[in-house]
Amino acid sequence: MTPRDLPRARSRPSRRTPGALLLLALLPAGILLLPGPARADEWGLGAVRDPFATPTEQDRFPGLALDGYLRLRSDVLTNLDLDRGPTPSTGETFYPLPASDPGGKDTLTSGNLRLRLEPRLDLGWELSVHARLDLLDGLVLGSTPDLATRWAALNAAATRQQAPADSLVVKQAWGQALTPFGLLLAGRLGVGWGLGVVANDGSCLDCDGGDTVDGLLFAVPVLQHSLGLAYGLSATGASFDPWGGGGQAVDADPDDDVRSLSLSLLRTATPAVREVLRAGGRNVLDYGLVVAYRWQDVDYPGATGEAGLAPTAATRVARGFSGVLVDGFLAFAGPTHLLELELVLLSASFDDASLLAGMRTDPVTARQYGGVVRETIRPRAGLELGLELGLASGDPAPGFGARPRTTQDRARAGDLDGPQLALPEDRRIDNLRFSPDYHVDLILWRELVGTVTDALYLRPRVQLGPWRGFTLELVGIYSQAMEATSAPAAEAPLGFETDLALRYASPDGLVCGLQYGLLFPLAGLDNRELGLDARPAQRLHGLLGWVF
Amino acid sequence: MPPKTFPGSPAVGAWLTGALATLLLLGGCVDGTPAAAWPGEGVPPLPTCRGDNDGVIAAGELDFTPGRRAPYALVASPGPPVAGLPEAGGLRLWDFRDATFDSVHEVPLLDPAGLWCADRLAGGTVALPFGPDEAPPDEREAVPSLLVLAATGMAVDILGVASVQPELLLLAYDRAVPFLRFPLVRGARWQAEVAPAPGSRLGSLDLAELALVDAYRVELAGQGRLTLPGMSLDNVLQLDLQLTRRLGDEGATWESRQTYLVHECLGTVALRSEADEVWWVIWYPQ
Repeated sequence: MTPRDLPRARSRPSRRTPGALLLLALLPAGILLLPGPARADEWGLGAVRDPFATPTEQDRFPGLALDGYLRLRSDVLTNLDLDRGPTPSTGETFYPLPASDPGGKDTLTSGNLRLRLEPRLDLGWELSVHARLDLLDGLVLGSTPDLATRWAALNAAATRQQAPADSLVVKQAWGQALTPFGLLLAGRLGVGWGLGVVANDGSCLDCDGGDTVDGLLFAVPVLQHSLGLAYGLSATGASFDPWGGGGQAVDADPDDDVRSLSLSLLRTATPAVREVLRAGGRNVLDYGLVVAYRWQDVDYPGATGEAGLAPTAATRVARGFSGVLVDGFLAFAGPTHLLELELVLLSASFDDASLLAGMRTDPVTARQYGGVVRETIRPRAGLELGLELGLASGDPAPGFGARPRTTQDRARAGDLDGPQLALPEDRRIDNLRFSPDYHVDLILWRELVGTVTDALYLRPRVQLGPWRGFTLELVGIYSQAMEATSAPAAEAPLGFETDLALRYASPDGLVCGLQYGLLFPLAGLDNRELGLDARPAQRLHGLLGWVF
Repeated sequence: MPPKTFPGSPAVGAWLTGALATLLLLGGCVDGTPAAAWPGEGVPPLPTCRGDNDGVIAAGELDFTPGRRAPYALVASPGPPVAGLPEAGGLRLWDFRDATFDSVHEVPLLDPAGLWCADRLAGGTVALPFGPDEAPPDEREAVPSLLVLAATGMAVDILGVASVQPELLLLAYDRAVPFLRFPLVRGARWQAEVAPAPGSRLGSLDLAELALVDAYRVELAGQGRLTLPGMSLDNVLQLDLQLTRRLGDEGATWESRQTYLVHECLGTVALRSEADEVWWVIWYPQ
């Protein structure tokens, strides 16, 4: 559920909200702090900055709308190590245990916070500026006690919390212009596509990450479709400031940039149109296809930030990276059913996968595929039945390769995770990783593995409601590894998890939910080396939010 | 039990320099995990160093912090010549792409602080476990000794050798032996002669009374490229270490030579002793 899916009693803020007026009031103050009289620059913007210039209509009323939410989450995590001992490479259990008594206690509790602001500044019908700002993002409740004032740094005496230095995180900032030829978006953009299996912008209320890219997109309408061409810069490597600070930084070498071009074709109805059509007994078909090409010629390992190595010919690695991603989705909705499908194919290669200056490796390739198909039917009001089948290709190397540590050179039999690459004999990375924000369960994939990868799962669900804002959902997930050798016990069956959720959403934006998950691990998660069978794990996950 | 052949065996030089090889091997600027019980299991770490591949190894490009560990494998096939094959620009090539590999050993860098004779090897910052080459492998591990070194900002010095088990073996040199002098540059060389300090002993034998003299000679003799199956490394330095052991002015003399191929980020990536004529190579999969 995304915040925008929630019912709203209030209309969107008008273009003359107090917030907008406040912004207008602040702008001249900022301008007056300028050191000298503003002059028109080559873009003709000086007049806009001039406090004595007659404001235009557009200057006076830039509409400001604000979306976002305040979210508190809490968890009770019990036996997520599955009582099956450590993995061979790390010597650590699947999941951390309480530090005070790791041999006895097996329950962890925690809560966290996020305030998300998504302002939109409307400069007219055609122009707008957008941003995503997260405040106290992921802050663990109680994690920043101010110990300076009382009783010599005793936690027990803390009476207030310190503000973290990174209290504000700007995740997106982009502009939108509707031109006579099409729609232009540019800046640091959120990236989402289809069901969010691979590209997910993290806009759901319980999401943690979110994909972004620096670049621009231009989309034109063609025969009731949207044809988009996007250019992205995912990494530019080291940069320098020719003036030693205060100037405009310059990318040190264009050849090490990671760039991408994508071409997309999309046909989709707006949510309002979709509801009208479905209410009228009509079917609605949405679909899209994107082909993205990403490449990088050379790389400078370690040349990151001021502390990194200066990019030189000696530190250069002939990366020779190229990759193609094809992602297609389809959604067929009728009055009482919804069929959704997303399929992904990825092919990539590196001429040199070295992470060290002065080292060269043989080529490395990746061939990955996967997807999701799900059917939802509503036999009557207040009842929803669903079935989802998901698949992510696997790699036969041990471990899942969901979030391998950079300090681990290879995975060993019995590991839960680890690199899927092992030079020189294994030069393939074939496990497709779903976006971590594509949630299918509470425990196995989301917490233990980290995301869906090297997996086949079946996920039936039943949902009752909404009734006066309440919904009750029961989900079951059977999971197994695509490659049995990836599972810690080298057996494909991983577990069966059942998740029960009770959610409430008020018309004015209050949401709360309580989810309980119970994982019954199967043979694939046992510890063969120590002869320990994996035991059930539980999770209680609460969420309280104010959505605006 | 003490090492069977110390100090009279000609193999003693190989024994000692074998431990030095391990030091350089582990001197790679790698991010390790705390050492388990030697020679226990662990995570062979990936390098997190910032070598700039300029052909000169600065002090900060090798790290000798206790707790690090690394694997290395025995090369079963003959391997390349000690000095490598000539390449353009006066560089060398050590080609292991077609080599066959045997057993793999993983060795940690240890903290000598708790050693029974730490006061006699004062200033030691890192220690390497090793055993006499001629002993069976299981026996080497059963009675390991430690080579104790002092790694400072600009140098690594050998302080001496001590058995892990108290009172068996202590060879403390009368002064520190310069093993590495940074920066390491092709053509650099240095040498030193040292003798056992008073109190050095092997069991009940007083080593200082033997008029034992160890002469170390180190030379960075070459530079070039090392290739392994699946990867290659540029700007590897060839470091030759010669140890000449003399027993009295007119006594017998033994010599030992070791060759190390040192990468500025990974430390020693290959080594070869003249005595057993085999290569050891780091960074090969187990």
